[in-house]
Amino acid sequence: MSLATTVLMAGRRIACLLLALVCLEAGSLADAQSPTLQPRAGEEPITPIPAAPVQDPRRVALGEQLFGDRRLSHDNTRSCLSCHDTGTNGASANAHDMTLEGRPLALNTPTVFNSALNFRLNWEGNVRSLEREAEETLRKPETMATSVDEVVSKLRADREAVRLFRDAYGSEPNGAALLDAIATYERSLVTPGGRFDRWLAGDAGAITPEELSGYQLFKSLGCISCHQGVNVGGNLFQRHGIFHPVGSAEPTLVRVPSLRNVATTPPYFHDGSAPTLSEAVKKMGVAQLDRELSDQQIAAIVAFLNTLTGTYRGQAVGAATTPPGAATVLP
Amino acid sequence: MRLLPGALGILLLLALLTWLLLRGIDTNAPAYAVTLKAFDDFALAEASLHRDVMQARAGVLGNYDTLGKAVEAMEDAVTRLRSHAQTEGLESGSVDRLATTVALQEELTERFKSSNALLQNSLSYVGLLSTSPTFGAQAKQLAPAIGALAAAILHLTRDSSSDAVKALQDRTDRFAAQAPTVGRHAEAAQALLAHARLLHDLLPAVDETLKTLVAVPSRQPLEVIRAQFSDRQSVVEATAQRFRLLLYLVSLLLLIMLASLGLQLRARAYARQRRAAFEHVIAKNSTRLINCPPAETEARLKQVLGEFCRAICGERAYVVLAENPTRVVACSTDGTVFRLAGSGAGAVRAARRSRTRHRHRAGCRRLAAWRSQGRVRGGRRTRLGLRAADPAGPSARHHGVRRLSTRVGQGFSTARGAACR
Repeated sequence: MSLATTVLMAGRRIACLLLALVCLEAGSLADAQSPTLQPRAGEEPITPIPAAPVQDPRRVALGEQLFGDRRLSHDNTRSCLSCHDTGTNGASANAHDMTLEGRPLALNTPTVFNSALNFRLNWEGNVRSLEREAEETLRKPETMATSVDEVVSKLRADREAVRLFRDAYGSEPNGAALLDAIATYERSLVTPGGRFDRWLAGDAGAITPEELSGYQLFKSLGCISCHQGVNVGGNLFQRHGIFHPVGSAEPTLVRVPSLRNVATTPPYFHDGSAPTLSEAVKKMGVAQLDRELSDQQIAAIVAFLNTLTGTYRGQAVGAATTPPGAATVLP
Repeated sequence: MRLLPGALGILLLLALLTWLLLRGIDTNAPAYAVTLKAFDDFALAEASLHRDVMQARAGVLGNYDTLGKAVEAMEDAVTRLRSHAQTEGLESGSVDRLATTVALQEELTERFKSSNALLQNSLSYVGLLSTSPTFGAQAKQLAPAIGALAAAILHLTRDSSSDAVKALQDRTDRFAAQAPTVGRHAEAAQALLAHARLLHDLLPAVDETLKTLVAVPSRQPLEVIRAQFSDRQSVVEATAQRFRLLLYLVSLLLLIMLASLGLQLRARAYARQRRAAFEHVIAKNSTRLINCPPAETEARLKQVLGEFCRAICGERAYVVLAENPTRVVACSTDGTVFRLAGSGAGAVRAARRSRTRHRHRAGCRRLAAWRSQGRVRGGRRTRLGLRAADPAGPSARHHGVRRLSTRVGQGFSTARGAACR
């Protein structure tokens, strides 16, 4: 081997080393090789869920009541709870919930838990505020098929509802108060206290070594590039099917979903095409990373994702076992 | 009812002073401070955004939450600036332009986040593949090509010029020619190629997005808005200053009026004192004359005239008695005896001439004396008039009315004399 070849080889090795250093910054590759990673408060790309914001309890209570009020639909057949079961996972077990006419909705219903922490709402991320989302949901023919004015007129005819609005807002039911009450309640739907959050807070025993290994893998494979922040996602748009298609083609650009409570919110993806978390991880590996993950890697990542399940009102968020309301599961 | 005009005047004056005071202290400072805070918040959020995108590009930013918060903070600041501009009645075109730049920055930020996530993901993956024994026995064979590919990617992360892009394309093609297409290592090799090709497109695009984002011209509309608010504040402050000056002038005027009123009051008090003293002299001498035996009339009259002279600081005094022939009784404070020639009308005319002749000299002397005592400022004029009473009166007494007018400085006092006999 000539000297020039030797120098070239050495240079390339140095390049590999430097690139690896770049990747250390980006994906914390070294962390993946350290099974005894200690939580470093504020240094991890995922941050703990803060406690629910302090809000007027009367407004929260009114919002909760409205959330389950069927008068919020035109034909008084469904409420927000019909698709967002806050008793379980904040969504439903259906791949596609149904419209009022009985046709399946285009996209899977995302959970309402921690939705206040997303920078945009919906899969398409076309709504910026909870108030606007509530208004849109009331208006859309496929969801509630009503309007704020219609709901307000119904509520004004109810003396008890008028009393509650007077208590909370000092006035009769009106559009702004209606939307604010629902949004206020939704802001209270956060699920802190997950095991991973406890680990982030310094409780090294909150997660097992396998789960920690899954977290390292999650970071080293690059999943963390999109799923980071307080909501483990929900803070950027991304194309799906970078290397290979995953699910239905539309919409091409989606708001990256939050992975909080992800273990309890099957089915997965915008079209609900992944019935289990393992399958979702496997498909994402192929579609977004161009990598066929091994069963062991999938298990490790799923183990980590299980630690993201938080609590709501002192109870761990659980999976929706039966389709609530008028919804149905598509094949 | 007599107090009503005065009370109304005082109320009006109070209202005027209050209005001037309020306009004088109304510098709009709190609102301007809030506006300045909106500017600061905007600048801080924009700086934070630019810092964070740089960190994200370098791979040292933990998550994108801060980017979203920075954009939200900028939007919030623009909303506040728009509200303040409306409140101040400013033209909103610059705020609209600033909002447009924020929208552009938001769009670029979202594009950057999406691209950078893929970029970091692929960099991570290339690093993992190029440093791990993924390719088993073929690793030694593929090492030069993998190393060259990694070096080209590394170079492109630092320099996204067309040369670097072309170099990566060459290395990628070279590796593609050597990479296994079948077998158990084919998948890893193809994945490496896919990520390298993705990076080939992504790295220049991300850097371009980053450059565009940082270069968004938000400074110009921001400066224009700042200048608008600054000009507006200058106008408000100048107006307030004018009102403060007006308040000062009105206050000064009031002080002058107050001083003038004080001087008038003092002059009147002094005049009243003199009048009271003179009334006392009149009363005393009236009693003295009433009780006077006829034989002592002339002597007593001279004594009374002397006291009158002293009371009004005169030098001479005379009384024309309406007797037949007319008789004049005169006296002087310095004891000088003077007589008025003639009788009847002639004596009266002589008395008047004498009065005229002495009036100026006596006035000048009195004035000098009063000035030395600090009692007066300016000129003084004394006029003494005497008129014979009805000569046919049964008691042949003489009545006179004397008017004394004294002007002291700017004050003027008048004392009406009493009758004497």
